[in-house]
Amino acid sequence: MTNARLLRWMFGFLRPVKFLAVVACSMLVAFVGVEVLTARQVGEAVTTISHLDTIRSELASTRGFWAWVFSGETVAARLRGEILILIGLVLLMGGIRLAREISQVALSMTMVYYLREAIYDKLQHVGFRFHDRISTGQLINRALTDLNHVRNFLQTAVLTTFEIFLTVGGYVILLLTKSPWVAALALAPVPIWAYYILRFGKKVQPITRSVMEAEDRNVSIITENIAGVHVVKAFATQDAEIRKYNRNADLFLGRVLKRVRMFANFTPVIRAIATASHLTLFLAAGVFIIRGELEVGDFLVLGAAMGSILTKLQQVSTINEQYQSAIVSARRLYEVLQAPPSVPERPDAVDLPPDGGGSVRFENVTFGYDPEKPALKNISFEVPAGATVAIVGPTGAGKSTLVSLIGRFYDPQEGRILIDGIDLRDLKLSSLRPQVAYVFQETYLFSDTVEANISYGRPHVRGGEVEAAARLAQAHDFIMELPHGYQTMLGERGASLSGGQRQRLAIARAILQNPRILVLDDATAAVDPETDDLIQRGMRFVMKGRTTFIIAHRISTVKAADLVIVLENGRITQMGKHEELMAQEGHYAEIAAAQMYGTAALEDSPSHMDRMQHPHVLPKPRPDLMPTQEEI
Amino acid sequence: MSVFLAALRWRKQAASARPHPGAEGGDEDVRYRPIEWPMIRRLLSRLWPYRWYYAGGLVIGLIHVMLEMAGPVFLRNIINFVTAYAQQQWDSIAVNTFIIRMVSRLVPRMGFGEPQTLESAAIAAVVLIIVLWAVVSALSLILQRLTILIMTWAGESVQFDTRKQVFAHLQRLSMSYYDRTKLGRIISRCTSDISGLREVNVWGIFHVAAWSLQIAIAAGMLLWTDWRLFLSVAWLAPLIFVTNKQFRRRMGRAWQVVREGFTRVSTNLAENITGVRVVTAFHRQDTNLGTFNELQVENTANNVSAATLNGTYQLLLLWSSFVGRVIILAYGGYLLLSGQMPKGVGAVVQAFMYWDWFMNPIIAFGNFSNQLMMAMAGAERVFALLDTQPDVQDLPDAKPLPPIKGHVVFDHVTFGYNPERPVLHDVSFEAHPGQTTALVGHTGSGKSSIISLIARFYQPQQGRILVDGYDIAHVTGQSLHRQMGLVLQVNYLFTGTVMENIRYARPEATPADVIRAAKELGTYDAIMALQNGFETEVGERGAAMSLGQRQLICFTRAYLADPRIFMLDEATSSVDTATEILIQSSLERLLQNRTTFIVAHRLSTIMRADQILVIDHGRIVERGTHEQLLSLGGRYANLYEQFIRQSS
Repeated sequence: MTNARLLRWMFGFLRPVKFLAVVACSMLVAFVGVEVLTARQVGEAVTTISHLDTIRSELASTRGFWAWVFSGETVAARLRGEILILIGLVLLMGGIRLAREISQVALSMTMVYYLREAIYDKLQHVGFRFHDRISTGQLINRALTDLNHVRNFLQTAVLTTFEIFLTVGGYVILLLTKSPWVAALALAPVPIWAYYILRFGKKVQPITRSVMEAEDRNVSIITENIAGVHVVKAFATQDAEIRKYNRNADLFLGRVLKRVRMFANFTPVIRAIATASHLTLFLAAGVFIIRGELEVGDFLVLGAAMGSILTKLQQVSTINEQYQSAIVSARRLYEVLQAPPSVPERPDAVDLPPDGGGSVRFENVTFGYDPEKPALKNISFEVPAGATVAIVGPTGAGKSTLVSLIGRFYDPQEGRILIDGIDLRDLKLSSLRPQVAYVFQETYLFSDTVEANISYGRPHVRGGEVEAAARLAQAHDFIMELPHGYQTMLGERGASLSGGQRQRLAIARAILQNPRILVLDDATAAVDPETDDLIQRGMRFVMKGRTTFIIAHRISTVKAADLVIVLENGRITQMGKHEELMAQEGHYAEIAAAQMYGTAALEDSPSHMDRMQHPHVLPKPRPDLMPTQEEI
Repeated sequence: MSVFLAALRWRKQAASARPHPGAEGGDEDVRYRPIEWPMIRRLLSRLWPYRWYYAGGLVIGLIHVMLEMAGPVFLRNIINFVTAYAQQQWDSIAVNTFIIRMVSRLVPRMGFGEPQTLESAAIAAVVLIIVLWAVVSALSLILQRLTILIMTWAGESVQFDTRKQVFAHLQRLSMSYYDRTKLGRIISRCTSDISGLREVNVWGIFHVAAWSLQIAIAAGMLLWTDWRLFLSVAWLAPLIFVTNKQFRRRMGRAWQVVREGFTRVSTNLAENITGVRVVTAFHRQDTNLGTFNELQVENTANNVSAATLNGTYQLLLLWSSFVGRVIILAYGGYLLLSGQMPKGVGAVVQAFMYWDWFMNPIIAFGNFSNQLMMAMAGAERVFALLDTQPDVQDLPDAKPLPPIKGHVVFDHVTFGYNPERPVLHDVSFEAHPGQTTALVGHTGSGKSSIISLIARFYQPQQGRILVDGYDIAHVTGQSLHRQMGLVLQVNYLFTGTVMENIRYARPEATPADVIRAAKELGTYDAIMALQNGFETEVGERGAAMSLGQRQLICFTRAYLADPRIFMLDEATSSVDTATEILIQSSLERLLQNRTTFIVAHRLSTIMRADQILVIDHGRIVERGTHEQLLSLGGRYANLYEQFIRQSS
């Protein structure tokens, strides 16, 4: 992707806001035009009053000054007109200034609105494969920082560049009406000035970067020190930490001062160029006036013109900087916005038939996050509707990968998966996904109320149904103990929950979804055994009439399953009922034995003390409050 | 366009302001604070060590300002001179100035005061005035460079003194400070709050002095040009100042709203990306996009509001500046034409230019007072931090702890993070040198507090803690901590290599020492298996290492420090089997011959202990060995059975 093509792609973002862009540009043209005219008008007025000899002779022929001002004498009329026009211009200029400000913000905000919307939507639909590849932090950075770079550039590229050209052009035209020589002289320093600013920008860049590095290091030393305050205090290394900090602070200060020195050298030079060109122009104007080729007021016009031109040119370096970062950012945005969805929907995709019970069939499925290294090899099994399947195996065997294929988070490289007899790839995602509810290993809750989190999959459900799901997940009691019950805010600023509580909310969320297929990926890992027991009891109601996949470590959980799949190294090594597998030699019998005799070494379950915590605060089972299947 | 309209519509609805979920709580720091003299004095006192630099910079800087402000005078002279030439009138006092007289004496054959002056002589005179002006400007630019260098050097030095002082002070503060203050808060104390002081430290004094001087000179020059002209525009000054301040304040508020709205947009976005798996699994994309766009519309509306306000403000500034100009032009013209202004048309231009010099600092002062208020808010927080006294510090008569054997006694210790709610009640126990003590109990029972007290992170409210008979409150922290080791649940590593991290506690240890320690502990092979062995970078806070690897590195670090007393808060999270076995075996070696306290989560660890303390609600409810406690049939036996039952 060349920079030129990237640039063209970037400018495409302006397409939906063409109208606003035109408005903003016209405002700019109008503003600069009025500004130039105002400068001219001031000059005219000064010129008029500088012709004292003419005025004195006119004054002599009228009675008093005021009589002269309102008389029909030529100079008086001219002066009157000029001041009135000036006032008019200034009023107009103010109005246009306001309109310009608002139209620019409207343009930029609207453009950003569409861009953000596009990125947001893209990230929601692009699929897990993309998210596996690019970290969350990076994506957030792209959606915020990179987008801002592109926005800044587009705004600057379109408007500031335009403004620079307009201003320089406008004043040069104004000066041309006065004298081509003066106009040429005014333009003369422009290339020197621009060159010097650009060169300085390039020279100062590495130093600015080094200052920023020192600053980052400064922050990270502080952060690490504070986050690790226990270690610092326990090992009594405060003095070493202070030395480390001060060493970096000195380096940081040195770089800051180096940068300051550059600016201290740059600012006077740039001002020297400005002063030199001002003085040259004044000199030229003086000479022209002496020769009678210019008027006194033109001094003011020249001053205003040079001032505006040089001020505008200072922005050249900013544009260059913004261009550099926008190109880098645009490349990253391109990668996001142009990423193909990893699980594309077919145009002729169909809905899941409403009467299906949720039977699942894996036919010779092979899948790998990296196609070269399959995580699942030749997986085939069939689950009748409403059955419960337990998947066991060591960490990294591919258990979570297997269940993630059911919701079509990924497409297998080989083989196919059928739900109620239909290949997942022929289904509409909007019809498939609500029918497969997950409780993930790592619980993610949103900063919203407890209620909104439980009804996440069915946003319009509130009240009784939410509570019923929470009860089944053994979450109701602790929710009621929260400061605002179901309306308690969760997340950064809200209540913090323990791992077990979060997991129970995730279970309630899945229950409320009322899916055909329920997937529990090690759902009760962080829950203590007694609560686990209660959840299992509640789940028995929920699992009725649904196909359920359970990834679990505890044999007690697995026992009741209709089918146990033992997964090792991406292959199914054993399959059958608990009793059958116990009779066979293999992984299953091994872990069962290990758990039986209390040596947890073979099993990667969380440690037991976790589960020993809080036995006395466990909610008592309330069978009277257990909702029945119909209520859900 | 539709977005813009939606934003406008939103603004109308928002008149009946709806509260935002999560918007309350006032978590954000105060941004403005009134300017008060004691605070200013305290800030200025920090500049005192550099007073001569500030004084020098100030003098040079003010000369620079004065030279720069000579510009309009030169311009007036040029204009009056060329006007006089054009109209061949040399009798007015407009051309009878010092500069023109001096120049005319230098140019031969100019014949000042004679109507028939040569054109070439006139041009030469203009050239001379310009050269004079150029010399003054050059001098001014050189002084400007000096000012920048001196002021920034002094100011940045003060800035970095503050940074260092704050960091050093943080090292002295007790754990209780860190408990009650969020990480982000402390970091903003050290970064943005101090950066906010830059405005005061580097340019504050200079700005106040230079702007005052500019206003004074400009006013003086206006007065000198013509006092009536001065009065005709001076009344605008207070008006501009007040308007500017008012608008700044309102814009400050508007930008605050914009920031908050944008935070909602970015938080929503970040949350959605982080939780994209849940979003996908629950098929929430469309609903979420709707919510997001609502936030975006709000954000647009806020921005448009702020822009409107800003636009109005700019418009008023523009107008008030032009009102002054038009007045000067019109009234000056009147005075000139009615013969009441003998200083000529150049004087009108000069007044015109000084008007800008007069007005700009007034606007700048308005902005500065805003910045100053922000700096004040930051300064208050920084000073509050510097004024915080550590709860635990060495007593004046503290003595260094001699090398110890590791005999630890808790003598009727009562302690609470909040003294009114003790988490430990009258706890007494004894650990003999080399013994392992396991602390068992629920979360919040007080196990970790016991460890924190031994480490002297906190001071008990009652009772004593003795190490080899010394009350730890009466020894120096340095000597105590040198003989202690601590490994927490969160196995904390610093950015750097594995080697650097292991040597952290004993910087004087050689690489050979580190390798020997790792070999003795049995972690050598595991570390060598890392990408670059001991030179592997652990990443920020150890992010590049797995949980198990981090724990092994922390064990090696503690082992190298060779403490007499070792404390461990056992990790609850699981690691793979091979690592788990390695951790257990190295832990066993680590514990040998040390007095050890373990907040235990693994049965194997507990069973190995010489002494088990069962803690419940801040009290020791049972104590003894595994067998003793089992036979007791009490709470420990209960916990044990629960575990056994679960695993079968």
